[in-house]
Amino acid sequence: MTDPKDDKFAEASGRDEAGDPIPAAPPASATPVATPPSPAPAEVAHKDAPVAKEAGNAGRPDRTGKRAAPILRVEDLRVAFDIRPRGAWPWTPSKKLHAVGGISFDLAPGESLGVVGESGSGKSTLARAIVGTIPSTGGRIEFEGQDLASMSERQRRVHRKDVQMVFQDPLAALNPRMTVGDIIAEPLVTHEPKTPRKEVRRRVAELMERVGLLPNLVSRYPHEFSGGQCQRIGIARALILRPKLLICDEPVSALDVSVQAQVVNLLKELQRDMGLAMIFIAHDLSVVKHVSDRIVVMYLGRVMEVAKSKPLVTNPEHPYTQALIASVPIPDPVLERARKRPVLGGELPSPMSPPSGCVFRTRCPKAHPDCADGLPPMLDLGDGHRVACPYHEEPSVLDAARQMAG
Amino acid sequence: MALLDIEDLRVTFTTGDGEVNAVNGVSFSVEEGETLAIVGESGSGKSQTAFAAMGLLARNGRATGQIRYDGRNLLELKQKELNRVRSEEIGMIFQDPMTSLNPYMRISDQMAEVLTLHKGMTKRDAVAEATKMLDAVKIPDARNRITMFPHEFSGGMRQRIMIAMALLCQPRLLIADEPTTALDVTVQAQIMELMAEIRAEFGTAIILITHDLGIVADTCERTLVMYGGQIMETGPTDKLFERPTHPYTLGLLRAVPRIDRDDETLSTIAGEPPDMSRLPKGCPFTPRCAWAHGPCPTVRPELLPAEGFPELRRACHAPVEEVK
Repeated sequence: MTDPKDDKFAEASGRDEAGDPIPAAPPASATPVATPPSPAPAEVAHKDAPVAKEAGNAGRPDRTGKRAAPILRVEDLRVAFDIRPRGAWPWTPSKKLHAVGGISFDLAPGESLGVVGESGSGKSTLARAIVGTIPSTGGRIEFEGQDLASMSERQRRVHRKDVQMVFQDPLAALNPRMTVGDIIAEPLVTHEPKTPRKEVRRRVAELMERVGLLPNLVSRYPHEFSGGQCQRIGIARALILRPKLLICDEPVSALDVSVQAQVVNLLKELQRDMGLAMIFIAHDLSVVKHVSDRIVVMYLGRVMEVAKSKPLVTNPEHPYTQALIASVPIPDPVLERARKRPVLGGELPSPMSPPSGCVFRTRCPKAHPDCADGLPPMLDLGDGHRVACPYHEEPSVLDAARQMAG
Repeated sequence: MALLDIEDLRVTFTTGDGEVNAVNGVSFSVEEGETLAIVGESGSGKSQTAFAAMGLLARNGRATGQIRYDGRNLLELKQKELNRVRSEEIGMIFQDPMTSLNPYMRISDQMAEVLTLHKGMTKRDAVAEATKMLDAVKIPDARNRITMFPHEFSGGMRQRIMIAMALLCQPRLLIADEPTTALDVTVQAQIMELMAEIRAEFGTAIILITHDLGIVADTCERTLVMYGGQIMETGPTDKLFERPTHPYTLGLLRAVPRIDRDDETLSTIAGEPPDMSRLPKGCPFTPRCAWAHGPCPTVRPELLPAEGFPELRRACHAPVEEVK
């Protein structure tokens, strides 16, 4: 299993467009898949590899300490939808629903970024804008230094190849009339039609084995598989083009706990072995935390807080992040009863008429009168920890509760 | 005497592919005022157990065994009698609050219907009573909002309405089938808090059916773990979580990603959930179990007190001390 695999990834690094080597890929993917990863040699390889400039600092930023040239840069991204009230006259202006209202972040090659938020926070819209299926209405999305909006049709096709997606409902995402083999092969056949059929079959079989499906199931249909297996098929389909960025939109929330853990581990493993950059979107912070290097917390289309996953969970600064963490139940009766916590009141306001100023202020336990006045500034707390709350240093309700409990 | 006593319940569905055994000999009881959690993954039979008790099985489903509520077997009741029990004695909340409310009826009409039909109240009194109940589940401005339609409420509010509706006749037992699965975590926390308050106030016994071990830990006194239509393990929640004695419970608890821990990789249960139309004769967990041995595939283990852990009951052939 290891030998062809290595070949495959070696090809992956070679096949790319002129002067644009896949960063991260050569050294990271050279690690045999079967053996446990040894981060140390891989890292050395990163530093010493005589490759292009971007590739030199392509490692995960938290390991090398240096910020790498980002594979994806999102700057002040805005996505708005036109909503026409039912029965409106043709000449009445449509209303705007701001699903994403000014989001900025960047993603290093090989890094995994988690995006958490409740329904209506704009996290899926963000994913679709990055893939390019929803046009953005403002701001910039740069993939490998290229603005998505100004791409030519040809470049766009390459972009679609490099950015692949895994969806939430595994069965709905697969065509019920196609065999598993055809489903997995489809992106390859579409984007690289000259690939010989034998090669297509080889790569499908290889990938099926890699994601934990028996290659002899290749001519079965999706309905013959369980949810977890369908999600594996979806992952195989997303990886057959050897993308540089994988976007997973709630990939495990439709799965059972025991299967969920399998898929989370698989995604993590694949990401590490293939040197993929990954955006992992989910509403479940405990899952996101396990997968991501960094986490972006979104609320009503805006970023509330960004930090590396560990400090974000152990030391959340934004009141919304704090509330979100407090709401996640822990499967331990003793711990769970000990941490009596304030429950966040109210519900998500309508995105058609978001609150002025800070969008979270209507539910915020710390809200001040001036929170309504203007957008809160994004404060940099160092080490990549940014928080959109000027009052984050005030003792939180959570701390008070903790003191009372202790 | 227990409020609800289920004995050797079996639910079978006749499908084009043959018989599917969703529930295979489940026995348990619920005491007055108690909260019991039924935990399991999809296909474990947890919902069908509740549906059988409420007489809500799909048309191709058949339930055998005994479901005794207050001494009467619900499976043998006439439709009219069953309707009375369902409305006045046992309330039920479903997973999706939108599809369980009638989109064409105002909330006031839907809620009042229960009271006028079963309690013989006048419409006016019924609406007043319904408003009081909406206040109890903390719907702000209930007096005005009661005349709205379901689509005018958010998911969390709809679930509150469902709870209010289930409580109208002050049932002694409330069955909640995945009540927070469709909701966001912050709203889930609100609903769970509400359920705890209701229990304290009305003394209602609650059966909480869920796949989420986290909410079980916080709210339920007793937990019942199901797999493949059978009970794997049951006992007081504290004890069960502290020292699970069944391989499946153990695996399930370890597979949950926890926000308070940093594990590099999550431990998993290998394999896939069982095909309910082709269950092994013995323990349904055998193909995925690390402790499976001789009798497991052929002899079904009985639900017996765990050795050394008298409060837990487990259905497993492997010795307790080895499973950890």
